[in-house]
Amino acid sequence: MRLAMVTPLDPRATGVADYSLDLLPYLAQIAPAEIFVYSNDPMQSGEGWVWHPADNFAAEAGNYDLIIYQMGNSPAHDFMAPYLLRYPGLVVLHDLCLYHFYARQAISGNISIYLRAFTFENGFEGLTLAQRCLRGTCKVEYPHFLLSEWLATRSLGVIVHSQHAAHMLSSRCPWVHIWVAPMPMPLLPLLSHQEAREHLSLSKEIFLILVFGMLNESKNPKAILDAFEMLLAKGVTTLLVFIGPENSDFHVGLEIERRGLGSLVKHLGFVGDRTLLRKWLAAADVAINLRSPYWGETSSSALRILAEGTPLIINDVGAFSELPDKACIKLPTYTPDIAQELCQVLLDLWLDPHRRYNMREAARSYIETNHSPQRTVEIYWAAINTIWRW
Amino acid sequence: MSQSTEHRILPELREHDFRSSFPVIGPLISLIRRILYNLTAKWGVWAVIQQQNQINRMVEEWLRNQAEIIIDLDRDLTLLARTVAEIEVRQRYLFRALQSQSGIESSSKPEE
Repeated sequence: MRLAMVTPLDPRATGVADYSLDLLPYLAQIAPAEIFVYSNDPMQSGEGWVWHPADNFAAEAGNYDLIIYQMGNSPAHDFMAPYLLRYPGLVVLHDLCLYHFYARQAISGNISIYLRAFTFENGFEGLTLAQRCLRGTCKVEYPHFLLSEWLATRSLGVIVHSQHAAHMLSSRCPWVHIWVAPMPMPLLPLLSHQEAREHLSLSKEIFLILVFGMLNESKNPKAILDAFEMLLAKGVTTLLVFIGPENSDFHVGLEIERRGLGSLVKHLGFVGDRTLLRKWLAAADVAINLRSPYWGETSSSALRILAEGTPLIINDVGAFSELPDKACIKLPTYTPDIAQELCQVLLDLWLDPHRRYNMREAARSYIETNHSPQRTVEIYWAAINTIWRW
Repeated sequence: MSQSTEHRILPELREHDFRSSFPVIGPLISLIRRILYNLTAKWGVWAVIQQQNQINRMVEEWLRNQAEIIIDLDRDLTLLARTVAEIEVRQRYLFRALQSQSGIESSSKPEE
């Protein structure tokens, strides 16, 4: 059997690349099939799979027994547009709302797929809505326009990573075959919190707050900086570190400079060295992974934080709500003053090291129980076999 | 015909608004044009506008119906595309399974 996977592979552009790179070795182990990976990102080597440039895919798509698409809303997925609809396969939906993907297609001249996605969900009114959304006179809010229903219906099956996504999609298109596969998160041996801090030359007194993942407005970086300033005003010795690439809309460096926080806030950008990244995650006293607006995604960065046993602050929304209360503190999505609430939560955690310790334990235990890559690939394999044999 | 203006494809026709950008005497020129228009053409033009608006609404209704048919057909096409893809995948799977089975059978035959 021959499987093809079309996916971005550059971790600087999207967390989906990390996901695929984590998943592929396990999939290669369990699936008695050859795996060919198509991506427009630079060539990668991998055990059990072979990389091909995405440009070759159209010529070879007919030779595969099944095609798996790792699909999301970010620009890293734009190269997949011509293949997704022409060669239906098993689609792994990393973002339930695909509005921005289709909007970029429309702006780049492929208006028909944008309109078809809209009209499939909204009928004739979808035509007007699509034009208004593109002109910016209609606000696109999750979950009103998912725009994933058309793709899901065309596909042979859909894998999602949360019960939230499965429920949302199945309630709108009950005819779609949906599997819920937990996001794979390999649990590596625990790095000592103290040793990691020593290695990073962080003194014991510093309360290290980490923001990890692709940095954009939906992560609420301004509210985090506001909360951080409030924390400083309360006399807490603290350091705020942003790790992750920025998108084109937001530049945290300018904001840090504007607020005069240069010595207390670091922006490390994309950290490619996995060992160094793990040390930062392990050294952190708490990590923040807010999401507002939310687009129906399951956050791999949030799971990566939990896998290192770091307490996490998130929004109580969608798939984030499914994360354990023992390891995460959940803030309401719509709150008049998110910075104030965040500051209070940070202050509570700073004052309570015992609680942080318990959260660390709970985080590791949750990842071990719920996000084993073996479990994920078993569900992948079950989905593949069902598609082959139904 | 009860669509709101927002959902209309074709705009309503209106009478021309006579204006002149000529300095100082511009308003006077517009007034003369308007008077001449009112005396000579207004009623005829008004009737034509009414007719054209009616035609536009009919065309709009027809376009809307066509669009709805296309949207329905696109839905059907989407489901059919998936059915075809399902059949193709299954066919390929069965073909491979048969291929490997016949391979096993031929390799297990004793040599003569």
